[in-house]
Amino acid sequence: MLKDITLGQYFPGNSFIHRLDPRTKLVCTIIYIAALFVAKSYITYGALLLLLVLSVAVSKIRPSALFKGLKPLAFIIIFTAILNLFYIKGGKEIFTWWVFTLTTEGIKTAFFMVFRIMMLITGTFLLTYTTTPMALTDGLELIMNPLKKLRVPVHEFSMMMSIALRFIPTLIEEADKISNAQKARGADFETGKLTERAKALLPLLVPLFVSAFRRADELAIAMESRCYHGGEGRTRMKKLSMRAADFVTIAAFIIFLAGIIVLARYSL
Amino acid sequence: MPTIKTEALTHVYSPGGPFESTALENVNIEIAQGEFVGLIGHTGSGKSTFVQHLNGLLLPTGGRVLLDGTDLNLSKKFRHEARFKVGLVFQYPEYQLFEETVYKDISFGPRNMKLSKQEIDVRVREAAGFVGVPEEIFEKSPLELSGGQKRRTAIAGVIAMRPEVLVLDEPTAGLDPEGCESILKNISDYRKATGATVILVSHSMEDIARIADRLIVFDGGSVCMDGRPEEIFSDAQRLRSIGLDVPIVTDIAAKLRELRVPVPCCYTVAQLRDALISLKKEGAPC
Repeated sequence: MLKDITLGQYFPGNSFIHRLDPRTKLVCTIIYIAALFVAKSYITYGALLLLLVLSVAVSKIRPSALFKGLKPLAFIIIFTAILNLFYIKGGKEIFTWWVFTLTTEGIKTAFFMVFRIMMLITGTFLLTYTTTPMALTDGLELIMNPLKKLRVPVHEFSMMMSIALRFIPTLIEEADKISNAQKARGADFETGKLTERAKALLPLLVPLFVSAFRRADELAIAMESRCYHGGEGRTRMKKLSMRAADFVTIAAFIIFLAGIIVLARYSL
Repeated sequence: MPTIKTEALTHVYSPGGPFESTALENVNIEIAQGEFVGLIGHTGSGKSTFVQHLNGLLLPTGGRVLLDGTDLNLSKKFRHEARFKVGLVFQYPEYQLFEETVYKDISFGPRNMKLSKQEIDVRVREAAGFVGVPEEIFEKSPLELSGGQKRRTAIAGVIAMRPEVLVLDEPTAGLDPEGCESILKNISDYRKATGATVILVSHSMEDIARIADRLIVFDGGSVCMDGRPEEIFSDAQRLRSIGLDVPIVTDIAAKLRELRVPVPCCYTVAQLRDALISLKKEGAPC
């Protein structure tokens, strides 16, 4: 069960999108999300979908991998669709039953909402699928660098994030080991009432926390013994550099967003 | 009827996926009641995967595992019972301790067996006695103990289930020589007192040579040698070819034979000592 978690999973590759600077990808994802919230019509949604399909094709990520990521969110998507279907009033009434009223406007909004959520998720998945967690945190740190002037501990935040990402697989492995050891002593994590099952998790969680703290301690000592003292004066092994392709991509996305805004203005 | 029997046991991790790997291939082993078996093999040779099949934590992707003649694949209920019959002590078992007190932690297994309070108490004290956990620390938190005491407490937690088969995966890893010695002695004592079958996974040829009466050597997911220690260690060349070694004493005995001192193949210090003493008595030059 624990092996199914695909948080921040990276699909190695060498496509145009893989080679883009993580900052470019972050900025473009944010622009894309902004455009998604501006769009209101079939034409603008069509343009956004086209852009997404194009990006997926360029990234050479299998579409099945992206759809797999949507699966856990199916409930939220369906719930949103139903809520919108029946609670948006306007346009022609199609039928009424008890408190439910289906209108043409409701169908349209539900349709857009579902597409908006799916495209939002797929777009962000494309970012994490094509960028290593380390590159992503490095990119984030550089983007937030100006906040350092406001005394925001940007370096510390990004260091915490990369450590957290680094330890997810380790902790999953550890949890697997401990749960096997407790199962060997007759612990039962799978059957019983909900309260019993919650109680049965204790033998798993306590050792997991103990070992997480132990690891944190050891890591801190290891970092300090290599003279880590925060971000001040720290240089990087891999310097991120924006190439021409990055600037062109960002420019293209800005123009795209501007286009969507203009189209929305004329309510197209 | 053998206590444990595997028939063409095969295990493939994530079959069909991009990370597919065969950990065990066609393993046929019979282990009789009361045997003391040492499992040796290189890292990644399949030992740990093998022992997790013995109590049904892992299910074979091919072949069968029989416990007292019954297939472990039979039912979930049978596998649950099998966990109490086959006590498995994992590597670094001290990381599994979770209760507030040592006593409660040792009693976790027996409590899962739904035994009576008195019976649990008897078993906890008995198990603690076997591995040398003094009663004074029963009310301490397991987290306050020293490394060696934690390891003992964790082993007691498995012994308290009074398993008919005790399986230990590297029980001496990371302990000092004295700690190793005494844990191995505890295991022998448990076997002597209860007549249990013991399966010990180890890297240390010295340890395993001294206490096991049968050795099974794993290589690349299958059994490559199976026999009495003297049989296994007499083929030093084969052991070295799969990245293992023989005990130092066996090496010394072999070197002595090269120098024409007629000593037999030995694998413990005591054996070589006795052989040399008897030679000396016969007046041989050594």
